[in-house]
Amino acid sequence: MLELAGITKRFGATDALEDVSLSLFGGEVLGLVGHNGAGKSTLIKIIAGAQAPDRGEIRIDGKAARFHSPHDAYAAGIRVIHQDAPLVPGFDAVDNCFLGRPYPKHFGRIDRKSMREAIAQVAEAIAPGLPLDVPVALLSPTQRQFVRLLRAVADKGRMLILDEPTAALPAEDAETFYDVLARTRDRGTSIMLVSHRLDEIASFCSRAVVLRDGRVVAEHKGAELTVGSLIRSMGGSNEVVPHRDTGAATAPVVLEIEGLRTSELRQPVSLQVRAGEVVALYGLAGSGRSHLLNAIWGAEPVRGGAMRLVGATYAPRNPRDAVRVGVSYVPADRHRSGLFANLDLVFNKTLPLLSSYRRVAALPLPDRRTERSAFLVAAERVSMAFRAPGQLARTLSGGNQQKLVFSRWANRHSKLMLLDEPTEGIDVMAKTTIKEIVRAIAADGNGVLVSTSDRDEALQLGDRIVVFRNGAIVRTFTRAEASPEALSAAAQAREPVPA
Amino acid sequence: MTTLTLNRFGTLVAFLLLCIGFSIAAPQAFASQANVFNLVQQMATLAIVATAATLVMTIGEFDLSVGFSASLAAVICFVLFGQGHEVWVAVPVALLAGLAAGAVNGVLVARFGIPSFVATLALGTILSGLAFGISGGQSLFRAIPDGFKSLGRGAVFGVPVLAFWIIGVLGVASFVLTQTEFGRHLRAIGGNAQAARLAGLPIVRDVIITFAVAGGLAALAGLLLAARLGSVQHTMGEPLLLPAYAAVFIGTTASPTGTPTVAGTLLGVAITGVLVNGMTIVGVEPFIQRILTGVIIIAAVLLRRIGRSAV
Amino acid sequence: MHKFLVSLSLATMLTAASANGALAAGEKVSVITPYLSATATAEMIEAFKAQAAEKGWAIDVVDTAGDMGAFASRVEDATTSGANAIVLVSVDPAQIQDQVDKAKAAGIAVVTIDGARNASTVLNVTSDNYVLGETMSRFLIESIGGKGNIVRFFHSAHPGVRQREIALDDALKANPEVKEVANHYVQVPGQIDDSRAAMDAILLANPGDGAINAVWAAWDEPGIGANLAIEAAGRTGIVIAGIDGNPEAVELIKQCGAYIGTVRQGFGEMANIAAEELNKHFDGGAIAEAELYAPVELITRDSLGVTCN
Repeated sequence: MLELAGITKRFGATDALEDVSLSLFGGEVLGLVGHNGAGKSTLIKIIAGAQAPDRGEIRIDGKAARFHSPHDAYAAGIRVIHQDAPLVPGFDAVDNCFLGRPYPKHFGRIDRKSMREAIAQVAEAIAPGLPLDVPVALLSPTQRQFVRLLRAVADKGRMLILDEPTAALPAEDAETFYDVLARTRDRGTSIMLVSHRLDEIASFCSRAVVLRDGRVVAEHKGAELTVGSLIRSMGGSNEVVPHRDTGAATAPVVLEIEGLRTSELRQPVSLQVRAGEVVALYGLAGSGRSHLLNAIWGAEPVRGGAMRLVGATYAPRNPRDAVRVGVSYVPADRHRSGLFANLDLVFNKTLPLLSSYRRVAALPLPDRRTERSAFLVAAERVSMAFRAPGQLARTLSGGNQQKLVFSRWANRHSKLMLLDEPTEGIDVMAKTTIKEIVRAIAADGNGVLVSTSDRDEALQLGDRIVVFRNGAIVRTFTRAEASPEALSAAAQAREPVPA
Repeated sequence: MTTLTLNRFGTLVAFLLLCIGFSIAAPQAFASQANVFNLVQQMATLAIVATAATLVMTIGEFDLSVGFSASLAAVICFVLFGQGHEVWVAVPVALLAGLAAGAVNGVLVARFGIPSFVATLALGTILSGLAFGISGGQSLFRAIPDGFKSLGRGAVFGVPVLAFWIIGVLGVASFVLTQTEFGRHLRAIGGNAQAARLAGLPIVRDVIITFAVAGGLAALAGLLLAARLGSVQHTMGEPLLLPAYAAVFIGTTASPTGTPTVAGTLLGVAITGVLVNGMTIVGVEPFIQRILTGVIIIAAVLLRRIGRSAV
Repeated sequence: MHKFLVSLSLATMLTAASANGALAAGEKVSVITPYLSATATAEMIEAFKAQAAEKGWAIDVVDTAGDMGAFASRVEDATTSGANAIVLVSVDPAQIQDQVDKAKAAGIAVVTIDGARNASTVLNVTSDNYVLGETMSRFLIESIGGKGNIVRFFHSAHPGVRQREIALDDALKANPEVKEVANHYVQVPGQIDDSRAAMDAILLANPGDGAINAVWAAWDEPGIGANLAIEAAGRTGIVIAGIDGNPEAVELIKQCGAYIGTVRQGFGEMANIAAEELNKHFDGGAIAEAELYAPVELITRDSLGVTCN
């Protein structure tokens, strides 16, 4: 039905995709897996018509197709469904399905009855029981996902590309979701499933293609399509993990968590971080590791359990309490949660510890000159490239923006440093620098907790690696025990792996 | 470079062009010292209310109750005068009423998460009801101490008293916004509230204080207006609301990132003030005055957009 | 928008209040105006309330703060809530003809005070606004010796004010030596501040002794604003007259400043006449005249017994 032949795409000097060929047949579900950066999103963009390949051909029903825009791909019957594609919250399923489509008219009035009939017919076939007349804001996340599916299928979608469709869904709903997907497939629709959840790929897809460094490295089907085979094909990084003895195993405990519970964690969490130690929290998106960091930072309410910071009871009601006792935090998604894009670099750097830049200790008046020199020192320490301290944060590159967020805490000794996805969305060079910074922070005797969905990063940074799945810790590895396969297996396992 | 300069100072240039235009059209009247004094006095209450709006817009919120707070404070003050109270009793009570009203706005927004547009509109409606009820719908003008009137009238060292109020209030507001830790907090909250919260700023406290100060400033503006006019009607503050926000929006065009600043707001107040004053002097028909005012606001913002995209 | 919500909420509160009263009392009367902030309107409504209390009517008072759209809506509300009579104050019913027609069709007696004659209302009680304007214009023109330059403050949206403006137009035709050198359309609410700012500008645009001899204010509040501007500018040789007999204006006349006269409508008298006629109607009698006039009174230094040097 859909064929890709020799697709190649370059960004600058790096190959995003190199000679990728694959086919999607009618009425099948094809899995597409690979690590972050393996080229999945570029491939999706090319299929969706959002980017043109440098070389290669896309064929639909055997005929060559040229997509100049997403509109062309749409017309060919391709529907890409992103995990959080927007719906109009106040519209019901029927109205959402007709968004952007011509409405059937009855004497000049919108013919709601025939609209509903058209949608109900498809809904009956793929998702029976889905409420069609209720505003989607009142539906569950899983039901909203059905609405997205319905919308794609009802408007003549023949090839669906699903990007992490279950990432935001509760684990217990995954089965229902795949039931709906199976019924969709049985109507003759082709589905390409892109997911980090390898067990879902293994149990639901008839075939899976593995991308690695922009190439198709394997295709598994039938009995040889297992979580284990996928992990092996996905492989690991070639970066040599330098062995280092931090002596952290005997250092004093900085943070001690006992039976911590929050609304998002499915089991109480217990954990220790020692001075000079980097503990990596590894797991898929939504596995609970970010929530744990937020709870430690005081940004999310704690429902039970206890924390101790360097021996003293630690129960922050808000991030302010955490800052005060020497905890530092670099949030994930710097654009939404970290950066003040329209304010200058010095502003961004000094904000959280502003009162330490006073000219006169008793007056809450920041001294620009002190701030500026502190900024310059911190910028040097995180090797940030910038034009002028007064330039706006949004004018920096992604990597330098992340360094800017890091630089906030660079002038003080933090007892505990919390890092959430510290290298997300930045280039390779910057990633390396950031990792060096993280190690340096630990080497200064700080305790560091890094939350990451990047397995290689967990391996490179963590003195110990704690694996999360579905809101609970499934296993803790020492560096010696950890291997790429073991980490993936733990993060993917259906049942908790015994420690 | 030239586009950049024009971009940055375009709003100021527009203001100067307006002044030059009116000076040519009515050289004796518009450019006279007496008219400059008039302008300053006419602008004072609007400038203070617009400063309140600037503070609230700095944290990315709206306060639609400022006009009503101004009316209520003036009504309370004059009713107290009517009951024989002194200036030092009536004025602080009226200002406190404004502060309290603003604090309620802040609590509704920061603690209960009600969108500020809705919360302040609702509270403003309540305030207008209170002003109506307390004044009995009557114009109040009896038993006003001369000491009170002098707060908004006359001149000191040859400069109108209201000019000192503008300098004082706007100067302090500008200092707070640009030079203090509190001001940094406000700009951070307006820049990215989520990031400000995660950076450990006391957001709830800061938002409540901001709304309270805005309410207090609105009350001050109401009192100065009452002192200038010598009488109070329970609706007198309402016409301040829209021009105040118009001034803030015009002012944002003078800032490189489109954020509100006190200086920009003052420029916005001056532009609207000069427009109305100049057109009245030149004798422009009242309906044309309104059309032109709207056109000029749109033109200012559009020019800014064009200037920005050209850079 | 905010004005609308203001009036809406007030209306709700007041309607609720009156609903309680209606349990105890007899006839239900809705009093609706867009101009309660104007002193004269408030005075009429106070007088009417006093009359209604005497007669045992349940009344509710609604103000829409200058908003004509809300005003029309409140008249509709009163019609559907089954009032026995609707009293419109300081407004021409022709501006909301549909709503007034509907009220009439519902068998509700609509009375206007300080309004205008209308086929769908049973009565308009007014001081003849033309007579008010004529009386004041004649006084003002005489006081500057039948010639000179005047400034007009007006607000034609108000039907009564419009009649006063027509009286001034006629007076100007009859006195060709009096010239209108400037005018200002007054903004409501905020009328005093607005008039003051306008007068500031007009004074500067017309400098020199004798450039302006008199200010004609369609009602007293713009005159009060103009007086503030004249005082602040220190200009002499300008006189002001207004209409309404506003107490603040009367104070100013006593102070021997620029303000020299106002014409008082018999506001209380108008409300009394309206209440009496409405009472007849409730008793089953007919209202004979479609329009009744209350007497007008010119207030000057002489009439107040003030001597100035």
